[in-house]
Amino acid sequence: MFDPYRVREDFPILNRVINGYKVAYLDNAATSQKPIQVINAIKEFYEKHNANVHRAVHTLSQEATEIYEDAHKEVANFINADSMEEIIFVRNTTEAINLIAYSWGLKNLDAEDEILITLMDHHSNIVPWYILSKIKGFKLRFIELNRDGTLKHDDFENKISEKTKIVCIPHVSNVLGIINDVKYVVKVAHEREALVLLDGAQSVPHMPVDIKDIDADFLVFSGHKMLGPTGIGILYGKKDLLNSMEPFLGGGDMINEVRYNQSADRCDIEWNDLPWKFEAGTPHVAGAAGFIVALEYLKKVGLENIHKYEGELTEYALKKMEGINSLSIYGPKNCRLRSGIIAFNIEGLSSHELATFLNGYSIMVRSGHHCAQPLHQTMGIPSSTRASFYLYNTEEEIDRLADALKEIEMMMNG
Amino acid sequence: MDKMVNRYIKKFEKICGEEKSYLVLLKYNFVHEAIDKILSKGEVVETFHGMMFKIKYRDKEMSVFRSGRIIFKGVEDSEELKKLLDDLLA
Repeated sequence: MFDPYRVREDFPILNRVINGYKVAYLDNAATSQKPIQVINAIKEFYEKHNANVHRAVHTLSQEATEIYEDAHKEVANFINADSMEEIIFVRNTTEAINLIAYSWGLKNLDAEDEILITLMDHHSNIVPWYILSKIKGFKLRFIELNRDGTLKHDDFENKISEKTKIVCIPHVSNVLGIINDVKYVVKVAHEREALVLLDGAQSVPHMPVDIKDIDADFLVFSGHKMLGPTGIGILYGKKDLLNSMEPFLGGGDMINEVRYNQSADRCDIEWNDLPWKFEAGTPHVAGAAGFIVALEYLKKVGLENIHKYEGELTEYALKKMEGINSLSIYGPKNCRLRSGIIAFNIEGLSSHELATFLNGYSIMVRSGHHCAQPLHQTMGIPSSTRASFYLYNTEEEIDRLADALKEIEMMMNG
Repeated sequence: MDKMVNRYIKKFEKICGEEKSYLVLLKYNFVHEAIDKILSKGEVVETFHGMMFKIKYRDKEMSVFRSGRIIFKGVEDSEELKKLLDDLLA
């Protein structure tokens, strides 16, 4: 049986006391905390196995290579990809999207084309395409949202056309926690022969994601949001697509051969096989060592259990917060449509003022536009305060959040 | 210039979502001294149980928290912020 209090024992940082209160970490949409097992795995890598990967005969390099390649296999298994050839390690979700934009987009997008993104997207799924559209001249179109922030399916169906080459959509909104019906989006997009890039930064850490079942062409997510270290991000791509793409970064390890042709005074270069073709230079091997353990941890707890538990926490939090009159909660009321992210504001305070007050109680939430300014524009607010949950959060912490909000409300009313 | 900033300010950074806003963190050992100076120079528009003060100074608004955080609003850039802080903390 899932027990968050048992889970918490693995997270040393949750024992910290700041401002006289135990830390209530509710900023998991930004990054997750790390269990001791992950911390130890990174330490052990540097203590026992550290070396550079690939193309060395010595034992330490062989061990490091095995760890690094195993991490790719673990990720493939985690999302049910066909093989590790479909798993590229990058720094984070942002880099993964940039990789797709430049490697796939530069080659496949032209002035008469369009790409579809949504008004709920994170800037990391807007800006790379914006930059590329300035180079290639294609049109970037936005799927609009309903009043509760959910995706307007009719607008999507109206805007997708034979000009649409790719649809880029978040699986889960990083502000409202809305879970998009991505299987529907993929079905409609594929009927129009458009590819789908799924931003899984807020879904893969929190719920089972079976990429074969969803059938998206690309899936991107970050290790640091799922108990892993910072500096490890994942790009999944269908093998044929990845094979058809040019490398993003050039350098060591991503080539099979760089041969100098003396008569022509040039180099002839042959790319490495997948996934290494997209991984130039020394990778984050220690991060991969930690990430394997993070994946094992999540699998052991069970993604179904985590998803169910976060749903219960969200429902509990929404009920507690509903009673606070001056609080505006954004997003759909139906808990089935949302994951463990709640954005809100208190009348008379900016999101930053509210987050500063909450910090006084050692309740760690995020404030601002959460890199989703177009979404906030749509909601008619400059910014919001965001509480986001993970497997180690408890109802007790939500009680503390609700009590603090009530105290702040009382303070506001004099 | 910057003398008072160096003495009292740990760091400052632009904050997102609110136009022209900065978060300023006071140095731990100088929190009370700095806040007293700011309260004596600025006009206290509103106070929230002594935990936060909404202050007006010249044409700028700021929220001063007893915990040592200040949110400045309507500040064009870091140079203007530093000038304001220098004046407020002198």
